[in-house]
Amino acid sequence: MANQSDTKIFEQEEQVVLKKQSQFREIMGRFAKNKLAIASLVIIFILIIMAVFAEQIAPYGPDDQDLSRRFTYPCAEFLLGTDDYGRDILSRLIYGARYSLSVGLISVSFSCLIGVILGCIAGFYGQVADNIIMRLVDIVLAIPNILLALSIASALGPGLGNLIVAVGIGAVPGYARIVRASILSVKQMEYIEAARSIGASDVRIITRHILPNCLAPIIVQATMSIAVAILSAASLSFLGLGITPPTPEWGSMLSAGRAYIRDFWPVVTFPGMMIMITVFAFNILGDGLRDALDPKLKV
Amino acid sequence: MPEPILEVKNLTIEYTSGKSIVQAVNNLSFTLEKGEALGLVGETGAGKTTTALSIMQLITSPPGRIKSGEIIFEGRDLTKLPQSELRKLRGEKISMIFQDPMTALNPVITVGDQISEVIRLHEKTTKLEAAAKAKEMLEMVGIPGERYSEYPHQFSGGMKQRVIIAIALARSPSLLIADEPTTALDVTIQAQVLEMIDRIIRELKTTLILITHDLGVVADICDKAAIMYAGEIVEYGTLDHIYNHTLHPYSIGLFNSIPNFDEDVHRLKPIKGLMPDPTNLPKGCSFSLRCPDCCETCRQRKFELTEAAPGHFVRCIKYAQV
Amino acid sequence: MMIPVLIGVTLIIFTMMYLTPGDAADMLLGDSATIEQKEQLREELKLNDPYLVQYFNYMKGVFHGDLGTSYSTKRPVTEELLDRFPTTIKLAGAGVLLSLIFGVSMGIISATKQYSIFDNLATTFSLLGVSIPNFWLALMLIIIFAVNLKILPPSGLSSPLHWILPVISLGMNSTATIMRMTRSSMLEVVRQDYIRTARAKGQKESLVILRHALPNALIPIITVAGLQFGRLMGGAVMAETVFSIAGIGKLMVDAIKLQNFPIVQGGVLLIAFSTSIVNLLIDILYAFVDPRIRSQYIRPKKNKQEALKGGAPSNG
Repeated sequence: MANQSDTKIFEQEEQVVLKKQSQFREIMGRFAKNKLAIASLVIIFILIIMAVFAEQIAPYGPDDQDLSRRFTYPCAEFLLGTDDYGRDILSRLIYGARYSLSVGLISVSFSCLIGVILGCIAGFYGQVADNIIMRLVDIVLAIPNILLALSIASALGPGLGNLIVAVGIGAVPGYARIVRASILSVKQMEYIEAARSIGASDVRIITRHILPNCLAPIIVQATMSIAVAILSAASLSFLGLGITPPTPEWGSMLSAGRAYIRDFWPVVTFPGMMIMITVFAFNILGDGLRDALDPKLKV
Repeated sequence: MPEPILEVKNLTIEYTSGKSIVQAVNNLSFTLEKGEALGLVGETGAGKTTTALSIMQLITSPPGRIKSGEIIFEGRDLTKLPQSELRKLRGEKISMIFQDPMTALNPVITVGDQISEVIRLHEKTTKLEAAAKAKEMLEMVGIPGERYSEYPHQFSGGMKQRVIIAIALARSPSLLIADEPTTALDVTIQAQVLEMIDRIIRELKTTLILITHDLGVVADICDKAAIMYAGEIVEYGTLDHIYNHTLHPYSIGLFNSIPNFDEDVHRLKPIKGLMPDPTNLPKGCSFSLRCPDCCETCRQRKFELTEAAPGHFVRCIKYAQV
Repeated sequence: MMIPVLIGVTLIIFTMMYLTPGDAADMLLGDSATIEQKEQLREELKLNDPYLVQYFNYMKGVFHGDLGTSYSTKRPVTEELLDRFPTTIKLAGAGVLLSLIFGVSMGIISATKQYSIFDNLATTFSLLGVSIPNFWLALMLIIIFAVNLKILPPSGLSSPLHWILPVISLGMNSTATIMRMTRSSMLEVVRQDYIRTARAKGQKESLVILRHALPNALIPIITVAGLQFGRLMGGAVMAETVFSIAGIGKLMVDAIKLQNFPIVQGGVLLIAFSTSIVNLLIDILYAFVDPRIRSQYIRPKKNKQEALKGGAPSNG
């Protein structure tokens, strides 16, 4: 008899697993149909490969100078030309992927983590905590993103780590709001009550029952804010407040190349194009994920 | 012999969603004479609303498409008319009352302006004259004229439906299509609204197509009834035919599932099963899967509408001329 | 609601500037100055006071419209900012206007002709538009129109022609964002029953879209447009830098490099203030656009106050 009920439970669990799998498969199926999203995934993959294997891929080192070959237009030897120090632009762009991607990915994970925690506290505990956190969110949102990043970057000084913080803080409110809203909407649901009644701890309720419900919007928001983070980071570097030359960061390459805008277009054209392609890819990926995760949102 | 105002002939409408094609309306034909009131009865998904929208030529395409058939209104085939001609007919000659009054009015325009809009579209009048006429219409449906400049959110569901009726009847159309006009309303309001529709169409001598799933409503208002199932008319005739000499097993099933307070019945007899998947209709008679009298032939082939008695048509093997 | 947020803004910005390494005195006097001279300057600028005292003094000034004195020019910050403020506001305003005109009209056409060639082109354009770095777009526009074609000036704002490139580069992101929002909002609205009602009246398709659909799609559009204004006030930093325009953005970037903190603090506060004002205007605009929101304000005044009290208990 016991054996039988065991099998039954086992079957049920199997069904749950199956259901989860099929849901995942459904999402993947919807995503796979979106050709643009797949293309963006390929671009991001290529960018990651570029960043990881820069040494192997780049034809020259990022700082290899050849002063006799300054300002070479794109040719077979230098596919995208050379800059004011005779450095190969293509190689610098390939190395530059490291900075943009790491700023994007790290700052987003950092802001996502903080935002989700704040959102959980605000939504789950409410009252005083909620008020303090949401007022803070309002304050941060009252300062235009780029100005906030600018002020933080100037307070912290230049450098990759500081840039990541500067760019990341502005994204925190977005997550906090999403998480808080979705916690408020499920908090009163019966299954939360049920979980509480069997003695589940707050942390367990939040991580097992509440967060999975807002995973989709968080993933979409995170993907989109990678794009925003890369853009702001490049902007700050362009203003000389993020990563400074001679580091081959795309924004700082633009900043350095700006002086030659009248005479030599490759130095300002290609780095910007790289930024745009990268941001474009993450934006499309975010769009595609949103459509795949929540077909109701699709218009 | 009274002239037909509307003739629907072999109408087939399909919706495409992804790769699958849904046959919403299947080879549908009926004729409506001037001043008649026809009740179109069927379950949700039987193709009633699609039929109504096709007469208005308002089927959204894509995904919807009139695949074949004719809709002849006052001698002209609506499926072949250009948009500009259709626009002259809509609101003027053919009007429609929609199912859900809560969403059928534009929330940012005053109810009065929504009524006078249809007047000004079809009649050369000044703004003031149209507004005066719109007020009259409001009064006719039992709403004080001074509420002209209020917005839909200030009205209850029943009053919204009255406004929609006022819009539909503002130009005294010759054909009115009412798509489940009372489904979304409270039971007490339902009777009022129906009574009003009944009164006004008799006053204006309007031809009516009443779409409903409520056989009782049809008995109150209509002259004829058509029972629809899975995009087809399965039985069609006068009220007497349908109510007193019911022939089709589906119609019989419908009547059996109505609570009857005259007899002391303890259990209703619902029709077993569900409507067939419209993307995958059975090869034979579409009711064959649920029919208590189903036989092998029913599963194999379809049947034409057959005149079982003068003016009483049935689509069933039992009455088919073999 | 607005005031506490703005006070919060001052606190955050002030703290950040306070924590910034380096020292205005070093910056202003250069390496040649003696330690005594620097110390004297610090005393003069009250940089040696404790943090809270400094902040308190700063806030006392703010409430009287005094944002301090610029370290480098010794002029009042308020004056310096207000000199340049109109330029930045006009730039941002022109950017929002441009993006509203193009974004809304393209969004409407896209939505009414969903999946058409125009729709596909416009959607692709909008995806590129939100992804393009506006400072790079500015550089590209300069290369094309100023350096090569020589038809538009590359910098400054002295004639109407000068405005074209800055406004385009500033407004591109917003145009794309507003277009996307208009498209999706319109697509949502044209599915509504009342649009079918309008068609059933025999209304022309163009008027169905403009009179029945668009007013209902406006709420999300003006929300986004309001947010764009704030974004463009920030984005002006980039455009003003690239086009050498004497606006608040450029003033702030230069001030950051010189550690001229009063200017930075004042600038951020002024921009946060103007975005808050715009948000307030947007809230009022909602009531014009949507009678349902309007009636909340007009009819039961008592209810609204109660709702406010219930909604945000800590702000009372």
